[in-house]
Amino acid sequence: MTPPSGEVLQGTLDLIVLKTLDAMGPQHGYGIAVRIQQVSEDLLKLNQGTLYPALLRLEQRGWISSKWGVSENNRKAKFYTLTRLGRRQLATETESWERMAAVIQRLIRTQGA
Amino acid sequence: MQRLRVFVSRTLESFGFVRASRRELDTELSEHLQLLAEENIRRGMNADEARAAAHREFGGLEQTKEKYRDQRGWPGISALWRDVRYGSRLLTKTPALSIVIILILAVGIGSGTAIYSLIDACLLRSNTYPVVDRWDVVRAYLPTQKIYANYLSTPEILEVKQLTDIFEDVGAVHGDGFALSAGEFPERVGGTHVSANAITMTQVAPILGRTFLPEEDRPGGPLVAMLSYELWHRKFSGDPNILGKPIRLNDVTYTIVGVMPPHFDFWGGQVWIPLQLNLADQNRSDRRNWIVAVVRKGVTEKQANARLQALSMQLAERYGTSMPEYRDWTLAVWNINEAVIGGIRPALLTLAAAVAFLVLISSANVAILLMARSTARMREIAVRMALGAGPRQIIRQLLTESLLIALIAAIAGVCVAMATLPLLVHMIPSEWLTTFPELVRVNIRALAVACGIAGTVGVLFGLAPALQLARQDFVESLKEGGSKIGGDRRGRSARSGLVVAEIAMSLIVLAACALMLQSYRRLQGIDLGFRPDHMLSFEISLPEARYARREQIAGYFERAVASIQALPNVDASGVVSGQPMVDRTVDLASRDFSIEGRPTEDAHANENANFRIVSPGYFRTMGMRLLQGRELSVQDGPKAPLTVVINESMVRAYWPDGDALGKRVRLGRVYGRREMYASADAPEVVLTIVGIVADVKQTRVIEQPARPEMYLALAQQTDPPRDMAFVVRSSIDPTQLLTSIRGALAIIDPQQPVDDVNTMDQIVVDAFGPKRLTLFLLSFLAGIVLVLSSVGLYAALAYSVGQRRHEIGIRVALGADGRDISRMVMSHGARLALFGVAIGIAASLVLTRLMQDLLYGVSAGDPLTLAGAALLLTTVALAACFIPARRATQIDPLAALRHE
Repeated sequence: MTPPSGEVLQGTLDLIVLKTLDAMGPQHGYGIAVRIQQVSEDLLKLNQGTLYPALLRLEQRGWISSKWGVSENNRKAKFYTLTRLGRRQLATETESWERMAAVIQRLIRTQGA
Repeated sequence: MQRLRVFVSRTLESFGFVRASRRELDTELSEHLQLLAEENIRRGMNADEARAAAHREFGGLEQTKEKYRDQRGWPGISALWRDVRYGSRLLTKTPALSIVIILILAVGIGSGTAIYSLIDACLLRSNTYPVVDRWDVVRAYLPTQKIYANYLSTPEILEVKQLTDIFEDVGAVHGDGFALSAGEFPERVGGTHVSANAITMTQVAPILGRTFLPEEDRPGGPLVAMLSYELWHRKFSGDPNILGKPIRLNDVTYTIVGVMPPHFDFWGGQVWIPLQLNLADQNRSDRRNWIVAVVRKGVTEKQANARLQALSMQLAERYGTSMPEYRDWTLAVWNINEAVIGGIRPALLTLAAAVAFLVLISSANVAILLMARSTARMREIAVRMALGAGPRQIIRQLLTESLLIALIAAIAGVCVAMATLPLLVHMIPSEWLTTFPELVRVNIRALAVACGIAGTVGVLFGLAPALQLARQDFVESLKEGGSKIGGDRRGRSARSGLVVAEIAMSLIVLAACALMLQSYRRLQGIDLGFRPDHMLSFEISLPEARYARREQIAGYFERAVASIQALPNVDASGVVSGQPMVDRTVDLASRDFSIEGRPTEDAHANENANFRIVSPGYFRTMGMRLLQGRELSVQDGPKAPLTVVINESMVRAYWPDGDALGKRVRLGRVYGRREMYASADAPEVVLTIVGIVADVKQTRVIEQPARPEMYLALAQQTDPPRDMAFVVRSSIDPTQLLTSIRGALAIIDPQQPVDDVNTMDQIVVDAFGPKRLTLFLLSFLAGIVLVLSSVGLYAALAYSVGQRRHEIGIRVALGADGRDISRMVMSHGARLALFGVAIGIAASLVLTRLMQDLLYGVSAGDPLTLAGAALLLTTVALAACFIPARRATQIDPLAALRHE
């Protein structure tokens, strides 16, 4: 059951999406997917389809909101925006992620030594 | 907070309130793919490659959509909603069938609940009195005289009161009528003399003021009164400051101290005054009060009666020599409900049983229809299973559909019940109801039970095909098309069983109805012993304050009869203590007697007969038949030898050889309502029998056999009663006489109210009321049941013809003609019907015996009546078979065979 390296860890996708929206402002699904891939320099292999259930989940929790608009190339697209609640959530999740990452890092080091 | 938000949003989405439609998601995703593909083209791929790569990068498009959909809303609810929508589509696809199923269930639930609610309101009047189950009357049974003594003496009341281990509280009451002077005309209202605790023991609190205090209940205590809510509103316009105000009853002023809540019809009265019983009274033969008592919690009727029996034996031991009636009398409790509705209980129980059958029959019907419907869908189900639907999904689907039907039917049933009940109550004259019309409400428990039965049936039989599929290989179903020759055997036998059960149950209800009809017919043809046509009757109760002496009382009645007699269009008139066919109980006034010259080895071997005090013209006015001797006449005055006229039953009982005329009887102890005989300490008088008249139906319970009865001359009474009923025979419509009669009476005493004015025809009709009501409701039920069971038979047959199309087609192809085919179907239907009828007859013979008490002149197992019911049912059932049989003959063999 170990996820192959590069797969997005369960639960981290939410954080990534929130961070992306925070950095870029309102963005449609495709834009988010492209941005994630760019930033991760294609190290993260994201099945772009999985983005959509995640977006719905975030919206149901009230962290993001969506609105239909027109994309750069004049096409209909649904734009997602970070809400105030989402911003707060991003802060707490970032913090807890960092703490977690630090803990794991420490663990790996001590184990390795 | 977070969870709540998700919950709300998903729930809203489940039911499609937030309609981000599927198409929206499609657009969003296809846009995404498009953008990906464009990007790939920019990287130098051709269009096809670009699209393929885009799909690869995106991952499974359908999985995404499904995951998205599952996450939007709740998967279970969404699926349920889908099933509901699918189910309702199916229901509307076969609208006639769905409507029939729903209608049958709704009628079953609705009319069943309505009638049951009515029965419940009449039978268990717990909404009026909280302690009704433990509230009893204590009365004595005198086996030699074969009467109940409901009225008891003060020492007897006190002796019962001492049984504190059995009774929580013991009180005494007696009903009375009062001339209420308020407004222009004096009006007579029913009232009750109550011991102070008699009202409090009902645990009903007054809505205004208080109940009586112990010091108000002593002889010579203050004159106070309590009003019923109804009287308070009618006479005092619901005046909130009524307390302390005066009310004039029988020319005596009472102070109002309390008002009882609505529907508190204690002893049928509208006004209550303290009984003020003299506890020092040692006269054991002055019996003028009923004992009312509340039994302690946990004490059974048996225990209470055992204690009372012990008391009766003590009384016999102590007073047996001087009080012969004590020697074998037994005191016993009589529940108040029993006392009030005892007479109509068998009718109510019969009706309740009929209602139960109605609900069962409609359920069976629905079961048949649902089974037919879902068996027809076996193929569809098999297809869906082949396409990957799991058994759980199928069962859920079927359940949803059945429940959907049950739910719609339940709602419709509630509507039917709510619509029918007021209609029923409206159609029933209020005097037939033993409760107040506004207290008859849709009984929630009954509704729940009816809906529960219907729902269970719906679910069970809706699921049947799924369970059947689970048992058999669905591939078989597919191949066979669910049903062919020999297929669906289990379903068919279940349907046949249901049809047979339905017909059997219908027969029971029909038989009960037919018996009731028979008995009603016999009753209507019964000899009342008098001619009720062209007769007016009314009551006069003279107040003691103005009519104290014998001459005043007898004088009033004699003058009144004479002046009415003198009016134009009056043929005859008379007075009687105790009008016939008005009261329900038999022992209003009875008297022990012994026959002179006949050896009585034991002083207590007293005989007992009812008695009425009449004026000379009474017999002629009533149109009673004189069989021997003469009527009482004006010669039988106060100074003449004392005479008596007796009825046929008395002759039959005591002078079987018919030689009663000229014999002498010695009168003894009196029992019954005081107003009807006035004097308790009547001296031992000896009367000579001068005439014999035919029996008269004296009580409202028409089927009750007449008791021995004596008619005594009013003029010869030393202490005549103040309450008398007038009867007037006229040559024209008797109601037209009323004004002139009132005028004539006003001349004699302008302050005297005239009460209970009725034509004798109306009194007779009212006496038939409860019977007619039972008959009416039972016929109503029988009609519905007959229709329902025919529909059931029709449906089962029609379905079976549909299923056997193939077989019938083959038969026709092989040379069977229309008559053969229709005979085949008809005989199938007839077999079911006759089988059902046979079982029904057997069951009826057992069950209708339970309604024997209800019947008059016809035995519960009356073969002719049963045969009639069976014939009717068979005819209707065969008629129901006719349509499917005809349809079967019209099957085109080619079409039928191609059909597969």
